[in-house]
Amino acid sequence: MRTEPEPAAANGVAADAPKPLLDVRNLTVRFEMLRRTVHAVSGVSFSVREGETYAIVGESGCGKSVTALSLLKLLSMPPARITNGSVYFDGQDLLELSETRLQDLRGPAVSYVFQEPMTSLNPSMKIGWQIAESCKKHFGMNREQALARAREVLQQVQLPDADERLDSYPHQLSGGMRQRIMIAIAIVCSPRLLIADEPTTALDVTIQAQILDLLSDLQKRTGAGMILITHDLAVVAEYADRMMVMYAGRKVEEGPVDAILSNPRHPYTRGLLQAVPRLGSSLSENSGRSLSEIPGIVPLLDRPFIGCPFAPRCESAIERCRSESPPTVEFADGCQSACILSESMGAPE
Amino acid sequence: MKPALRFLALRILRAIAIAFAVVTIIFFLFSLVPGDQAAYLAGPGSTQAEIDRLRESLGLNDPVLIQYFRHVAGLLQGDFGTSEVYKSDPLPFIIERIPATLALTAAAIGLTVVIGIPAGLIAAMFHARLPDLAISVSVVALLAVPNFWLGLLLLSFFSVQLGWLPSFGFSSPAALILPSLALAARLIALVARMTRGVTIDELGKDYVRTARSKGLGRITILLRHVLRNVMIPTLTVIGLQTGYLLGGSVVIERLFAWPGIGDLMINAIGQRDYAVAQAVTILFVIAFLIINLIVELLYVLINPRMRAA
Repeated sequence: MRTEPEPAAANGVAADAPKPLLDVRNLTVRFEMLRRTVHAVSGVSFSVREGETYAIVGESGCGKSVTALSLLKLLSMPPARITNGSVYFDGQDLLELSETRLQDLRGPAVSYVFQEPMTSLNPSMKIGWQIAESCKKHFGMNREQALARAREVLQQVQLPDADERLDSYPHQLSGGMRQRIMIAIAIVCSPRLLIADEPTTALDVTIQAQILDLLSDLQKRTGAGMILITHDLAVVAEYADRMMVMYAGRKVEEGPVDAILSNPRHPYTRGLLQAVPRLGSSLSENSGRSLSEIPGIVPLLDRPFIGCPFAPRCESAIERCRSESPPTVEFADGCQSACILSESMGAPE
Repeated sequence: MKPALRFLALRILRAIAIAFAVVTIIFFLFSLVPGDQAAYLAGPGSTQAEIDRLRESLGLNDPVLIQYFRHVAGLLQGDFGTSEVYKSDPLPFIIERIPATLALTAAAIGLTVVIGIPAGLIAAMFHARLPDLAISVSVVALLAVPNFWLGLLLLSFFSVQLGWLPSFGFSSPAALILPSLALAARLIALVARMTRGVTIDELGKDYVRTARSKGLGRITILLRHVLRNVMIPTLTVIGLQTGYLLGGSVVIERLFAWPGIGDLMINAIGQRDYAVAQAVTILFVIAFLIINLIVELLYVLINPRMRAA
């Protein structure tokens, strides 16, 4: 169920959209270590609706995963500390809840598919129970009922020989099968929001598409919301409805996927798109343009910035970029861009 | 199943080879012990002729190599020589003492599992906080204290001053408490320290995050997910250290007048009863090898990844 960005997008997305499933406001996360503090996520806001796939895109270390893990406080705290912001799920602020209440929500309300299926499964526990145990915890099922539910879910993730798999250990499965198990663990309690943190990074290219198809298929069937974290813009183009581009712990651009990919406002997003080989023709009229990289490296996040964090690497940076925080500019097609220069760009023609 | 059998056969062959080597080394070590065995056994006031006769009858005048082959041939037939003190086959006297040593060793291992592993888990759960600090300090203290001295302290406090527990002999199950505690102290500390380290390591692994994402609580994650991965290396260490408990038991048995094999061996050495001393040493070695073999097999059994290999 791919919810198209509302037809009334001209008035801005949030205004007349249904109430979001997840509403993150001004999320700020720091890692406070002995000698330094890393500002991993700085004031990020976004929302996800039911049935929607929301992509978070950015380079390694830009705060994508930290953002996702903060939502249900899955970071190790300390050293991590959520210093500001709120995460509304179904109207209640998850960051205000006690650990026990959060435990009740992890699984049936929000669940995760992690990046490394190799290490994210317990090596010495049988697959069946790794899937089934959440049913015991959240639905009060006994062992047999929970394992029956696990078998059902194994069929949903299209793993053959479900009975045999229940008794397998992770090392007996291939990477792709393990990731299907991770998905089975994530959906066994029918969550309303699924957070997939680079679910295919560790897999062969041929398996990647299968896993993503499976995820999006399951999501369509259940109508759950999904946050898809990736650095692969081709994946975003194929599977996501809306997207956010993060840089140095900030949101730099957000909007419907089609709008951003065809008309990126932020210089960083443009740089990312130019660094992708296959999308070339669809994103720029200048089809002869060659593949390019963004010069420079991601800044260290151990002190607060003055100005725009991307300015040192930005081709179009002007003097003001280094002294003023960039404003968030909203456009008629539902996009937002955090760039001083965007102010003068206006809506797409 | 075939590679598993091959593994087993190889390990058994290796154990036999080691046993043979150890028997050889022990024999030559005993032949180097200073002092005339015959003179000692004949007792004070015996004539040179009597000593010579005894030496001849013991075969001590033969070349060492001949004595060695006679010794090995005897062992292969289950003949441990003749105890000059008991004037008979030493085996029954040794067997009679096995239960006491076994009970002591088993109690020490029991204490290690019951105290050492939970202490390590608690320290890891409260990593870098007060309980962790308290446990870590105790560990260092226990590792630094020699077991006979700890045994003396326990004796003087619980038996002499408080009079709660018996100070010697194997008269009742309560008599097991002090010697097994003194014997196990070092191993408890070792296991607590190791459990702590492995647990802290495991708690940082990705599968723990997965378990948290399922909504499981800290205790459930520790006991159901982490513990089984901690047990694999920990049980291996306990198993391998069990062999060393045998060595410690020699001293502890002496201290508590414990009627076990270690006590028998000390007596035998004091009386130059080489047959007994040698037989006990060989039994210790064989027990050590068997324990190691069992530990290796158990390690394969509890670690699913090893089972496939």
